[in-house]
Amino acid sequence: MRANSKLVLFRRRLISFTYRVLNRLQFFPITLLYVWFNAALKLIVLRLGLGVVRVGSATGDVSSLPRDAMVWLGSASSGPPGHQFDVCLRLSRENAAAELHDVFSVALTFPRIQSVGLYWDSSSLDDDLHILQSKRDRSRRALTALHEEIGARGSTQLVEFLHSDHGELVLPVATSRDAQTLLKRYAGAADVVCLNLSMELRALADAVVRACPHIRFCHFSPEPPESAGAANSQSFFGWGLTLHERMALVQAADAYVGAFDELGCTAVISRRPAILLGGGSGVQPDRVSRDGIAVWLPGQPDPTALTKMVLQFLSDRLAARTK
Amino acid sequence: MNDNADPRGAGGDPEKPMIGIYDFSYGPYALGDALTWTMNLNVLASAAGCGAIDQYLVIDPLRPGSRYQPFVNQHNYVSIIDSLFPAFLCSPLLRSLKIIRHPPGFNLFLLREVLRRRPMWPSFFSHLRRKLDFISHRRINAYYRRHGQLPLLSAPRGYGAWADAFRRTHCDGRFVVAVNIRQGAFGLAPANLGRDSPLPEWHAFIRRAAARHADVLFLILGGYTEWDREMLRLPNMLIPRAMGFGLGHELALLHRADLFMGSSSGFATMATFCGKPYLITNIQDLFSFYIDIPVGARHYPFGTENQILYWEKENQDVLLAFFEELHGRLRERPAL
Repeated sequence: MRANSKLVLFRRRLISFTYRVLNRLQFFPITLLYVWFNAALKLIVLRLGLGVVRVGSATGDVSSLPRDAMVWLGSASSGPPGHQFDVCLRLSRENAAAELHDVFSVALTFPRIQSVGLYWDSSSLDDDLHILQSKRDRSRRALTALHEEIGARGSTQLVEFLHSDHGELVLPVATSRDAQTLLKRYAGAADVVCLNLSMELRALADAVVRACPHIRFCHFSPEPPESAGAANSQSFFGWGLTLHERMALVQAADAYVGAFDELGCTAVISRRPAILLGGGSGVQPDRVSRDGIAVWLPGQPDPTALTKMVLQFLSDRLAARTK
Repeated sequence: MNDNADPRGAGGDPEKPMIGIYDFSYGPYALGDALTWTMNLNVLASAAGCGAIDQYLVIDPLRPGSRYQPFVNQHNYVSIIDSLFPAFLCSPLLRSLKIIRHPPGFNLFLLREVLRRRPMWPSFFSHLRRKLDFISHRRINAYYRRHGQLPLLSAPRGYGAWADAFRRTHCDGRFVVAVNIRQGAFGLAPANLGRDSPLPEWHAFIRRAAARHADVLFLILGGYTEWDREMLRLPNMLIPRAMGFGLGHELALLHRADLFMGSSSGFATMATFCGKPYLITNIQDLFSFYIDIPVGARHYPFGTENQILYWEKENQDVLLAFFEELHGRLRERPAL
């Protein structure tokens, strides 16, 4: 057993050494050797059944592709430590919307995803699956089981996302640094809460901002509420922040209250205290909670009760954090 | 305009894809180069009778940048590729796009395509020699000479309809001028600052043009850091980045604009290859070698009378004169 693990270790080191040497010598014909070596390595990985590929389909009616893709990727990229994933996403050419960039940004934040394929054609996807899948997974039944319809299960998928373990979410270091710096300058040691509320919920934003003068609020909504001009409140819409930058702010803040979109998913994956509002479809539960840290309210609660609940939640969670 | 219509097979075999490889270990992270690469793919696909394009973007996280961009490293490449991604969505023939950050996986794909003898750009041998001609218009000019037209770039996949809606909502039937003023000094990785354009001249031009033509709306394109605060004070002006939009939206807006004006840079490349009327200023003399026209030439070989090149550094008078010339001609043109 011991001799065997030594052999495995030696083999790994040899492969790693060869890879690094060939990668340094980037001239012909070394590059040809590099190509053959890498292709052989990948074939071995597939033979050993270590290739993991996830296939999602978003050809139907998807309410928010970046959010639904993030929910799917968050679940799809969880697994045993060290596992890497290839992800294929079948998209519709006819229903394409202006959100592919956000889907790509979301996919980049999962470091265990080693390749992302976007396909507007079934034949090219099927063709590539032969390269991405382990041999034993290439049966028709396995292929069918592999495909997941993104966003098709509506609220059920969101409930599962809320309760499940997720793949690690890593933002670019400069983005995280800038978010930390911004909040340091803006709030100092005060608690920071991100508000991502629609126009209809602006009264909630105003009430919460007024009731908590000791908390600093960051608004992301395109239509900032009246309170966005208050001393403890700042609208970040119009600051030209990328999706990664907004996600980094959610990660750097102390709590999140707002839509169950990509920012809401970021709060859940990063285990920030969060109240998520709306965003479900189909049959919806009244309220879903994960250990009291993340609470999802899919419906439209009474505004007064909602304000009371949000204030109580912030008071409890932020106090618990400092204990 | 419907960018989402399936163009496959339009003049090419939809079952015969062209393979495009953009390996960032020798290809630059740059908007103009990415768009020129896409245009070259369009041209080569069309010439080879291919009705679809499969694109491979390859990044080795251990060595994510080429020797020309040593500032790209494993900790920042994600931000850099993220800010460039929509540029790779501009081919109407695009059938699949793979972003691979694991070289072994890509090399198996590569060998498969080589064994199938699929048309590929760069060629397998060029790829092995780490050679990619991402600047020159050699193939594009040759295609134009042979066919008298070019397979143009479209708005990024999915963004065209959004741009149409934006025009209806925010532009209200006005004459839309997309503007990009190169400001490398304001960029996140400052380089070639000599190619930057004089901002005060552009401010003055926009003020004068807006005073004379109330129907004109200027859309200021470029990264959020790449324009100064004075821009926010100008009349008849919108800044999509300050409205929460990104590069994909900007490229689509440029595609749907009535005119493009700007310095020789990435957005100018989009205007060049999407058939827009344009004025491109401040072109470097050494670029003449790559685009195969003499310094001072007024048009590209495939350019029309409304697609003008200006090689000098611009000033407000020059900008206004060219604008009035183009505006006058384009306003007379019947609406499509």
